[in-house]
Amino acid sequence: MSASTHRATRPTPGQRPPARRPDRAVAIVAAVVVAVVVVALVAALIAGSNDDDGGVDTATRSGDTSSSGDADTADDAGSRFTDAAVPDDTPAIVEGTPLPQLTDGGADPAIGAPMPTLTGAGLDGQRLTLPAEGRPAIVVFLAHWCPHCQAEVPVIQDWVDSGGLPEDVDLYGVSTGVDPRRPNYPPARWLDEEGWTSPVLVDGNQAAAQAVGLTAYPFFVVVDADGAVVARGSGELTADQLSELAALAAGGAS
Amino acid sequence: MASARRPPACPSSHGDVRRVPADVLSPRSAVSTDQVSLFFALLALACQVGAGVLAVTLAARALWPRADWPHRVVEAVGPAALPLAALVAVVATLGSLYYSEIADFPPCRLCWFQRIGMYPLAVVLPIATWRRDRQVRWYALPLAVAGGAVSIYHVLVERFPSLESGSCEITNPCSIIWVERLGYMTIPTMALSGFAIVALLLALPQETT
Repeated sequence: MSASTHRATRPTPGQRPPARRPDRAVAIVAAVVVAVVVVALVAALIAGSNDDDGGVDTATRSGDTSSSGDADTADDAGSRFTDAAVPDDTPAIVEGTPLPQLTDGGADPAIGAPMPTLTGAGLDGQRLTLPAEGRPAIVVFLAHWCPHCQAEVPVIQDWVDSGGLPEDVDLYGVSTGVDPRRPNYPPARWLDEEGWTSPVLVDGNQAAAQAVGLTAYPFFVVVDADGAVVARGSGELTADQLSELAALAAGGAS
Repeated sequence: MASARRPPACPSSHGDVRRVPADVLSPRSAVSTDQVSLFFALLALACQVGAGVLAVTLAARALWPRADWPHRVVEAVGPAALPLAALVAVVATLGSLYYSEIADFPPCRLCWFQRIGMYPLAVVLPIATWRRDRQVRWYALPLAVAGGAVSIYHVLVERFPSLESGSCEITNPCSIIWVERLGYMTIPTMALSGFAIVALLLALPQETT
């Protein structure tokens, strides 16, 4: 090895420093490139073998639901929504004046305004109009891919199951923001797995979400028996906060 | 049921959450997003193993200067460090572009910050390799370290969404996990693997025998 190789830690400006054992460097890089190609082939083979039913991501995922879905959850929760197979781009119809968007801070300008009536397909296949006339209601807008909705749905369902929802207050879900490529699709399977019992409106065109001024998921709209908005909000709520909303809804009636 | 669905979507509506998967639009494409994701996940795994070896080597070299093997590892990898780092940066950039442009996954806010770290490396490191300019580390290391820091935060946001916010913004919250292979390999996890190995390769001292 020549002496010049030994002083090569800091190359002199303007002078290309001599390479140290370039052959070895080339060999290492070539080996890595070959390894990358091998990895590509392995990936193609492994992923390809799981891909027999058409090679489409969404088809694979929904195919899993019906054929090989988790037997335990299916037993526990039933498959009310999944079986109904309502297309999740079914549009919702809005009647009434849309509410302004919910803004951070300050009084909510929607309070006291009548909530627009939302009509469309229920996730169980039944036609659904909400809120029902003369009944207070909590309406929660859910996106299947939103981690906060994924965390909130079991909280709400536990609250319902433990008798937290008063008899005279209705609870509705609205499935909105649906995107087949996003995680936790389809929403019907998700809500079945969570054992969701309340009616769910399919908002395939985001019309319902826009009509209530939705700004984030999950989004709550609370109306009294007269159909007037008494509260709106977004984010995860605790069971106690849900009870407060129910009280607010029921209280507006008296 | 979903497989039969072809939701109407306008290709120009970039912010629209209801977009048709690339796989559905072009069934002609030879490889699926699943296959490509597994490929990148395996590469990222290799980067993690490599980064682990380099980290242990550098730590051992600092702690036990008399030990022989860390020097031999550094000596063996050293000459290839720059081209390997360039290769990682180029492949990572191509992967990032694959996910946004071909798989059609819209990059979130934190993704963009990581791109700011990775994309320049894909240009600068190959040029430095060509010019055999080891001094590029002074420019490239800060990019890799900053990008890696954003990746760490993004991985945490994926696992603990409340770090970002108490609710999901309508369009594209960073807490969505678009890809998860091998049980843990998400897109920011792959980015972190790339940043880590690039940073460690650049940090390798140039040893002489």
